[in-house]
Amino acid sequence: MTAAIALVAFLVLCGAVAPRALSPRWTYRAPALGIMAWQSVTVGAVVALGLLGLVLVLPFIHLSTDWASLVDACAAELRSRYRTPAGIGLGVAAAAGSVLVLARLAWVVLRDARAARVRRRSLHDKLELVGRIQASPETHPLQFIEIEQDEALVFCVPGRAKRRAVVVTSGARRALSPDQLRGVLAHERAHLRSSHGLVLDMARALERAVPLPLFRRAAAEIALLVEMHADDAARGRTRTELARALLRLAAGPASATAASAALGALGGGTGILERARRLVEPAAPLGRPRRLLVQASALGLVVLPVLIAVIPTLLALAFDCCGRGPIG
Amino acid sequence: MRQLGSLESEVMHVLWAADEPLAVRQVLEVMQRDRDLAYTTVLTVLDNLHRKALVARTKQGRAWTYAPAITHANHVAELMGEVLAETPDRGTALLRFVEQMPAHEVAELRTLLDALDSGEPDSQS
Repeated sequence: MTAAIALVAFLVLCGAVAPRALSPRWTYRAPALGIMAWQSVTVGAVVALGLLGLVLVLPFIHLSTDWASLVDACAAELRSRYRTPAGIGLGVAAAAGSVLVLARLAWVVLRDARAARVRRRSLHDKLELVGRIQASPETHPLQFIEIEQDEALVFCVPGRAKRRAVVVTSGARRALSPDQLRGVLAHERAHLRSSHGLVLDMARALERAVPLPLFRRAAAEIALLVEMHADDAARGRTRTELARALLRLAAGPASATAASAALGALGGGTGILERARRLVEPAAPLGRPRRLLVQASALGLVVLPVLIAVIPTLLALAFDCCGRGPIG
Repeated sequence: MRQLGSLESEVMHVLWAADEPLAVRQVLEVMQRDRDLAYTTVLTVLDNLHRKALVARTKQGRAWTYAPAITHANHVAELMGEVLAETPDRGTALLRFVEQMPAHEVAELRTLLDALDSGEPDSQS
């Protein structure tokens, strides 16, 4: 029973403490680390949700006997360690809830992956048809596809090696200086190199599968941190040029898109100002001790729910079937 | 597959650049200025494009002639439509460098960058 309570406490703490602990004051200084921290909080929470159902239903199902013989413990002892006063009703309900969440997660991941793959293929086919591959000396060795279009737009299409692309409209090319173009291309290439499409897909799948504020917040923060991580591909003087590129490409005609509306999730802002500020006024990078603390905590967050769920088993192992007390 | 893909692009550009429908031989002629190509290759590519409804073909005398089904501008417009319609909802098909900013954020960004420029000569126009 303690396992179930501890898992619930873990979930509540994740929801309450994580947003404060993962504050922009340090995540913006170390975006890659920040992304990993948000990922581990959400993964830990999902693991806890899944295990909660298992832990509550275990005393009542045959799995407990199998599990007991697997770890060489007394089955009756094991079951009593996991039993809750609320009985089988709560157990079944919790297990059903856990299965629902995990099934929905799997469904969302598969559905979105297929939908995105279809759209990417369509984009890629059209790009291949009308785009022109450019490799200008000022951006050597960075390649990109240019499309003849006045609207200033730059984006990348993730995918496997030959099917990924960085795209620049002719309007964007005209709006940017060579240094700015170089910075923007480096940014897009960083997205492709770091598999940011996949990172975003997972974060959004979790947000859709688990309707809790923690997951919505995580998805929004990860989206911004992903951009900051890519911004860091620009070094030295190119960083201020990248900030200028942000202005040149973001202050275009008001072609309102659903995406721009969705990105205003962080306290009503688009996050673009935060990106520009950290490019123009770089903060000191995170010190080694803090980095290690974050990495250790991230690992701990994923391992802890598993440990909590396993503790009653460990306790059961210390006693034998006749209840004579700890063995030897 | 990639090779054939970019050949399709080249053939389409040849057709777009022409004022009138072209026969296979005429397309081949233009493309052979840049590289060695077989007649059958160009024929295959045009067949594929026709299957994809990207080119229309009409019989002139004994030969088929090919013309683009959609203008280059319309293709680009279609592409741009797809790009701008992207939402983060159903998976990530693309990542934009930056979204459109609301006016007050643009003003703040401009102020931030102007403050920077007041310390150094502005080399950008």
